[in-house]
Amino acid sequence: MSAAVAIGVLAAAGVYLLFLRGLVRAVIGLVLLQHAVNVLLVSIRTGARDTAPLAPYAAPPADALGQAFALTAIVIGLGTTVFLVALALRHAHHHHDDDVEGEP
Amino acid sequence: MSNASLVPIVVPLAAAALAALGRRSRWLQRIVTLAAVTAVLGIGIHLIASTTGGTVLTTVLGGTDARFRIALVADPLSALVVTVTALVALACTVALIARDDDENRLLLPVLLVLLAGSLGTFVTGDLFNMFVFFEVTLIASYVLLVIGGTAAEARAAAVYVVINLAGSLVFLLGVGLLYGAVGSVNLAVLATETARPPVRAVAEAVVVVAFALKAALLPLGGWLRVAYPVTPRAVSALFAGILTTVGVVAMYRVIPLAFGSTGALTAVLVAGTVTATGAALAAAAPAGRWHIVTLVVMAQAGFMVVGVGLGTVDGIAAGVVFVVQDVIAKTAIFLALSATGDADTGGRDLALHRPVLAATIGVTLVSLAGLPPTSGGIGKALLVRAALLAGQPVVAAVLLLASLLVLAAGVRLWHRTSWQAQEPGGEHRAVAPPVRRRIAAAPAVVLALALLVIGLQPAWLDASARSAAQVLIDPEAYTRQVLP
Repeated sequence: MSAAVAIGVLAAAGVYLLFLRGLVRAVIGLVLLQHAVNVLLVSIRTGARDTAPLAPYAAPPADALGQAFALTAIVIGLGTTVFLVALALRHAHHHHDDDVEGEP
Repeated sequence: MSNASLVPIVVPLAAAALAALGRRSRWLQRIVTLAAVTAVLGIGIHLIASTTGGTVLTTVLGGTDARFRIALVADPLSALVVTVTALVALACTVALIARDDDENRLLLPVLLVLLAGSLGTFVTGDLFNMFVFFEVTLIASYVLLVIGGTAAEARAAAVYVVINLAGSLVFLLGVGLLYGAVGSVNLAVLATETARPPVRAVAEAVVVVAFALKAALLPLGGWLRVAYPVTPRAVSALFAGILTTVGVVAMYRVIPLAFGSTGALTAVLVAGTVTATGAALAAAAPAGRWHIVTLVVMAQAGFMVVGVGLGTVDGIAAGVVFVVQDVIAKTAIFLALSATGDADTGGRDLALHRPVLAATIGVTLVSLAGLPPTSGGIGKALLVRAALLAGQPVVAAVLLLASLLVLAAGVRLWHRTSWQAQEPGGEHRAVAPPVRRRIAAAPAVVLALALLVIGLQPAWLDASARSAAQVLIDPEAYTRQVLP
């Protein structure tokens, strides 16, 4: 339940920030959206709530695949966020502003 | 279990690493790139030969636990698309090398990564694996978009990256929900699990939306119009040929097999027809030739997904034929336009001075508009026939209307081509063709010839597409060969 609320709040904030002017705000919005999706992936339970997937297993381990998805998504998100920030920096050098809208 | 489906991924990646390490020597890079792309073309042809009649080759990675294994699957669709992608990549690389456009030593390695990523999406049998390969392709495309370093490119790249990143997040959201609903993201398992709780329906809808964004369908496709006109000339043809195709082929693979709900298919059909008409209509507006051809490419994406949206074997087979020949056509027009100048003297002038190039552009435009005897005519005819057979006369009529609009845009584009470049003072300078420039234009000519050849002898492509469609639409045939 708390995960669902967290995902909702993060996603709402992320989408709001995406619509604002300014590339840096868009980047922060995308980061929040990434957080939302990662919380979703981690909170996937395809079975009953089980113990952490750390060997030796005291009880049937939780499903590690959702967590593996989240790890991959975090790393990929990191790469693209870094690229986007570099783009914003390059744009700011030219224009002293991070507003990328408007006709060139 | 065959390892042939690993080659299209491993070979370009290894070549990318080699080319990046050897970036002091330009010729080393070029040879490595050409060798890798030729090798992939070879393996693609081998795959076509191995998957005739609906055979599906599977490679399973990841050990013995059935839940954690990742399946790489080469079915007839994969074989066709891998081959044609390798073909256009070879054409683009030759043109790029001939024009000396690879001054930036990272261009060729990143191009190989782009190729590896897109081929990976074609041979994967697992949705999350498809997400990873999508990201590889996209990240490579982000780098290639800004590799020229101009401010216009950075600006377009900002829009392109933000929208595509949001699209990737939507895709991941859908995959996560689907995994939670079904318990697996393997396509074969999704095909066999026919229970449809509401969560699964929502997840499928989300994934379809993500694919529609990648394939640049209206109303999610605006990024294409922003990004493609400012793509550096070295890679614009590659973008046009490969990037939207990745999203479209993902739709072809996933929707009939694993999703199978008529709602998704109808939505895709509507989006496809709207895109085809809308983009073709919009192509009448802009003044610059790159803007016109970008919108024509966007319209082609609409045509491509109509095949899968129809949902019948005829529709999917027609769609596969269309996709294969359209990749060639889109790349050819971009390559051919890169070889012309940018003054506005018009096509007749071009025909007088550069007849072969003018003929190439003419044939490619005719193919994009969908007239015989080019392959575009075959593709369009098959699509219209499939639409009528599926009981969708409105769709057929809209397809014909959109083709007419694309033809009109093509005529406009013809008037915008030129063999002369515009000087800043308003004068014209001849784009004089030394031998290297002629070599650079040669790949476009070869691709245009391929369009004519396919148009005159479409039987083998039609047969391959039909066997591909039968595998795609029948989960039984697919899963029987993929799941142990």
